[in-house]
Amino acid sequence: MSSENSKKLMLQSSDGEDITVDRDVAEKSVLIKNMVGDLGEDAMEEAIPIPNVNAAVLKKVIEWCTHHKNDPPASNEDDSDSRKKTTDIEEWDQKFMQVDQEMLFEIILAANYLDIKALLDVGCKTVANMIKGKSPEEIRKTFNIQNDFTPEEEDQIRRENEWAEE
Amino acid sequence: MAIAVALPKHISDLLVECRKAIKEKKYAEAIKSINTALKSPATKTNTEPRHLISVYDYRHAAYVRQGDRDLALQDAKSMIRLDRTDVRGYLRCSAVARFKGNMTAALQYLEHGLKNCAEPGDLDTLRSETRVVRDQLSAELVLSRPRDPVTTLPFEVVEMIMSYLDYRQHVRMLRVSKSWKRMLSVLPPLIDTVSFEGAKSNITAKMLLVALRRLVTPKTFKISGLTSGASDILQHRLWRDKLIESLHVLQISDQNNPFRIFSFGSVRMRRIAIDSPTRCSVEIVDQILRRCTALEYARFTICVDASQLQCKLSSSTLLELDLNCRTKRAGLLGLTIDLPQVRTLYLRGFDDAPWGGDLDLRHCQYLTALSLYHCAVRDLFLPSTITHLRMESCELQTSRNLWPFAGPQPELPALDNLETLDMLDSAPRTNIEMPFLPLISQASAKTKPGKLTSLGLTYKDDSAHYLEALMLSEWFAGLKALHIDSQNIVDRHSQLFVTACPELERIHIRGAQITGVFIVDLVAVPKSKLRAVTVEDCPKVSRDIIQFGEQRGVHVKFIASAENSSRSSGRRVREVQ
Repeated sequence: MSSENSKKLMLQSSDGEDITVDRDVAEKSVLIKNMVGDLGEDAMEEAIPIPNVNAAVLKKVIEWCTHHKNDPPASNEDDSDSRKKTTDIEEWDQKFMQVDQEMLFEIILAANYLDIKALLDVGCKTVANMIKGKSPEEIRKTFNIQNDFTPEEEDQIRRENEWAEE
Repeated sequence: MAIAVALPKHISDLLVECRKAIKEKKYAEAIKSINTALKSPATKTNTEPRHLISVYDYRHAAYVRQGDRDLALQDAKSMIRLDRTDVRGYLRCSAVARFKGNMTAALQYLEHGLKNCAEPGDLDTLRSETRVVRDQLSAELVLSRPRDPVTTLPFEVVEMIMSYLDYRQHVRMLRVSKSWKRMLSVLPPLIDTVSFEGAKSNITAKMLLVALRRLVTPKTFKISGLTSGASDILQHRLWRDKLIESLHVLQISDQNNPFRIFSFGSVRMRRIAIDSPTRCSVEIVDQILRRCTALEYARFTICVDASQLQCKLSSSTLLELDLNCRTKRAGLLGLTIDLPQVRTLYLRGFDDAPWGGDLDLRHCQYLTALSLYHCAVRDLFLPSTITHLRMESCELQTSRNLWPFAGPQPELPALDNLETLDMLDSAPRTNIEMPFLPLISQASAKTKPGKLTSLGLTYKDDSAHYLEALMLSEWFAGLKALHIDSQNIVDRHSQLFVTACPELERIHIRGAQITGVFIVDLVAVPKSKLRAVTVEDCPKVSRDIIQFGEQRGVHVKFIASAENSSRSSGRRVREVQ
């Protein structure tokens, strides 16, 4: 690590808390990285506002970035297309994602906003795993979704797609 | 029990009495007697804390059974206060907190316990209890403060989540709620795919229409099991509405309508599979190959009654072709192949001997795998790139069959890249000798040392001299797997295998006249690499060889089968999306 990389950055959460973080950790976020690049070294004395992310979520995101700071950068986009996607998640990430749903979705939103692709992937996989293999009723129960179909409507969709049912 | 023994008499009497009362569900009685005892000053002064803890523990138990959680918790807390190094208080507090559904508190009590207790056994109990609570906590956590992802998250994120789920799951999720249905019906897999893969029931016209209605830009069709009504609709949409022009993948199996081409311009199709029982003519294959200018994979079953097959297979893009001929009286003579890019080629059912023609693949400079099933070939010409060659139940009528006694012959190149070679015959015909052996001997003579690691062979007595020569060539020295099917193998041949194949790891012998001696010979060779022997339909081999092998690290397996034809059909179109 060069000395420049171990410099600190100050991030200001949406609820006004200042959080100090290593620059190379913060730069897992493409948004922050670009911001630092645009603003230049001088601007780093001041806290960088992160208006869409509250302190609790921002700290979680920083925890993730710290753990993954030495990961190689994600390979190019083309993996989304060619190979079949798996929902495997490494153990540390699985534990990290054991949070309530509100927090989980906040983390996903933050990863999306801060542009941290690997974290966004883990979040999406976590949600996909919560859906995988479940019946519509089980999915509703998991996410507390109101069934707004009439029994007739639901039955019609079921009959139209009978082949997909177990 | 251990505690009861060490207790002073007045306490142990009290506890015995309480236990009895609790057993009889007289909780109030038990609590009353403990209250009385605790009030007496003698109890307070004369009792050690650990015994007092036992007393509280009993009252705690009575409260718990009575459903009085708050009082139970108070007693549990008193237990901790009496002796901070006693594990019981922490466990009871944690249990009550769990009953109350407060997992975080339950965890905190255990963490305090871990800090204050010292006994290794107690720590173990606390740790395992912590794990249980943690698991429960995380299971509850992921269900707590629930949110509907579809309405909470931006569409591009929902789209990402959905991309991890398969088409079937997508279709099932249509029923979750109206907003899910709306979301799914603009999602790519549902708007560009109709797939009934794995459907157990028939696809009715209505089901197909519903699936078609979801389409915006159709790219993938995987369709089978249509009712005739559904089949007619599909025909109409594919051809009259020109749906075919936007497709990238088409996999169809339909008994109702033949595969027809009405008219279509240039097609972007990358993979096509027209499977039995769909009727598909040679002309269709020809047209598809010519018009689909980006085609990479094609699988056809031709099953039209043609007295003589004439078919030109020409494509400059095709990488893999699987052509299954069900037409009677079709031979390779009518087949012209012009596939410069092809990597993998399967041909089945071109078995009409009078129409047996040459199979010239020398122009296929990228060909790595060739499989022929039930084909009658006159002369075979291969490129040297080939790595996997399989000829099952095939005939070879070549003039080269006389080799090496005949004059100059068309030659096979050195097959330097060949890794697996199978020449099997599921139903050996009596009048034809192992047809490909001479040809292969010719190639083997040139190939040094080659890469051959796996050989499968059916042979008859007539071919034995080829085989012996062949096996002693350098080509076979690296062989790791051997599958041999011949009634002419007897015990004395074991020496041939031992000498010819020092690297052999797996051998499968079928229908041979060998006894256990043959296998003993193979297994007992010093430094033998043999690890697995499969014996199929060899009645003279007795089963005690299994134990013999096991003692020497060789797994011996018996198969008895009348029908073992190793036909490997059912290759599927791989996912493109």
